Amino acid sequence: MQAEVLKWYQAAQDENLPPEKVADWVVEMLQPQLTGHYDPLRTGIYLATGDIGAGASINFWAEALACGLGFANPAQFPGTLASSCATHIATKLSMQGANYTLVGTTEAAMAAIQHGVSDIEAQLVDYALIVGIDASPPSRLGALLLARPIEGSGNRLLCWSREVAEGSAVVPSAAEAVMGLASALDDRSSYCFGSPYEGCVSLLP
Amino acid sequence: MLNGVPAESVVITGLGVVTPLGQTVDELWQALMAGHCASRPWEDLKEQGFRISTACRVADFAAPDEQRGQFMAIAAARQAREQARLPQDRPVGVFVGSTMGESAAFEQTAEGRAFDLGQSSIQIFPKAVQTALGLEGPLRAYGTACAAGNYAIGAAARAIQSGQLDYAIAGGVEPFSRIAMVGFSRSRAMAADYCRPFDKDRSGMQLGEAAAFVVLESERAARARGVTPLARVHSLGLSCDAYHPTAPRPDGSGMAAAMSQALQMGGVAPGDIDWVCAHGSGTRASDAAESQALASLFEHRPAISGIKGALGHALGAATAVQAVVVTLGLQQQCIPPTVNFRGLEPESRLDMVAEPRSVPGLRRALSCGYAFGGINSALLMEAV
Repeated sequence: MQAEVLKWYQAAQDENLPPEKVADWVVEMLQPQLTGHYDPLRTGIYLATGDIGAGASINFWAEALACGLGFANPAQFPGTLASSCATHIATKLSMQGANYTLVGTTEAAMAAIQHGVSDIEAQLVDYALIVGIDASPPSRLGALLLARPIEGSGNRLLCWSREVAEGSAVVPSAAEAVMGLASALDDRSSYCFGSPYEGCVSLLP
Repeated sequence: MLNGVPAESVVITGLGVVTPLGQTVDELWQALMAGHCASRPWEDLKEQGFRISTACRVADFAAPDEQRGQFMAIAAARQAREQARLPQDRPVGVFVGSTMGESAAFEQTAEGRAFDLGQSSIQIFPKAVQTALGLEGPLRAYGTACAAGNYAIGAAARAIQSGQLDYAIAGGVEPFSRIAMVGFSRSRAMAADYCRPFDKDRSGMQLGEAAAFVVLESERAARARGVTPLARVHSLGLSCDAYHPTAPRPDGSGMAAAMSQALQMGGVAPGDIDWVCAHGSGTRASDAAESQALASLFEHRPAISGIKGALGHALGAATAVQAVVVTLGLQQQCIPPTVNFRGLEPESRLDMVAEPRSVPGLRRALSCGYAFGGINSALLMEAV
């Protein structure tokens, strides 16, 4: 399975970002990069993360205990859900395709890319926004915008396969996996990562 | 077809549940058909100062608070595996959906107890099931809130159809969450008395907890090893409202898009659907939007039912419980009643199932789940 990489992006946030601000930060970083490059109605979001929602859950409960259960701030509650970042991106960028949040490390990034590429091939979406994010400080973000391959476009292809290629990187987090791909696209180098049973993701010329 | 992947039929061959109305599939089915409701007041919630202290919790289930979800998931997955008589020597994927993870661990962390949060987030559930059941294979954790069970089951079916996997255990789990109890209460989403899906006097949801799992494999493999297929899983339709953090699009267009996609991928017309096991959370806005979606898509008025009046809202496990209930309904040719439903709004034309309904020839059903942030899902299932 293959898809063409239209856009890519990576960022890190050195300051200690409050959990409830992570989704805003992601949108702030992605919005200028993606303008005009996709049809939002036909774009799906495939987000992989290890920790979205955890910090917000702890903060929400701590605040509820501190101020009384009847006075907890309801506006903070949606941020406790693992899906909050992906749906926040969808709302801000009007993306109405499938909205995935996969939780884990390498396997979550693998699965996010597999779902995105597979949905493009099945024509369920025209564009797939792959996002890998670590919310815990320092927050890190990697993103790829994928589309159906067009011959002669000159863009590089992202390939998902069932077999793990020799030399595949082992990456400790979903964000690192996607950021590794973005780095390789920046300097036009090769890069692949994989995990047993999940397969391998690699960049083709 | 499953989401555009041409391949063979995928069937369910095992079921397992831990719910407030039963910790076996038979107990759950009998309770649902009898119209039981799991809602009751809880003294511990009252003592802790919750404004609303009624909920649908699993009584008599022993587990450490911070590992309750893992224990529930293992118990339900074990039932499903035993019914399916899964072979020992093949990879089995474990696909799990959830909303919060081990909520009690987050709560205790906020109270000053130290936890490894990597052992408390959603990804721990498939790992716990894999370890406890001695399985090998890929692990997937879907954090897609109240639609998460559908995501897990749909993805597992797709992996089998594409030949990536031979067997999968898929479902959802949600241990009781005080964080969610406060969050929904403060969002004014909780029912004043009972959860009454689609009722003219509905006032909100009730929080539940549950675990539910199914075993999936190709129909050809199931028949070859002499296992009885219980139901087919055809296609998962997905969409996002991209509208609001908590409210659905009022016209239900996002929900209709997910249902429509499931039908298209499954090669089925709206008129071919006999039963919709609806999301039916019992909130004013969500049920109104879902009613609009159903009315816009189905001219022939399929039977509509919901399980949240009986079981409360088990968040990430809710659609997995629905998949089990739909499987049983398709097998028994019978639809369980929508507990606590008393009557529709005058303008509504939904064919609500208020009493147990025998439906000879019951063939195709949609199981729907919608979530905060506008996540919409619809799973198309069929009788074998």
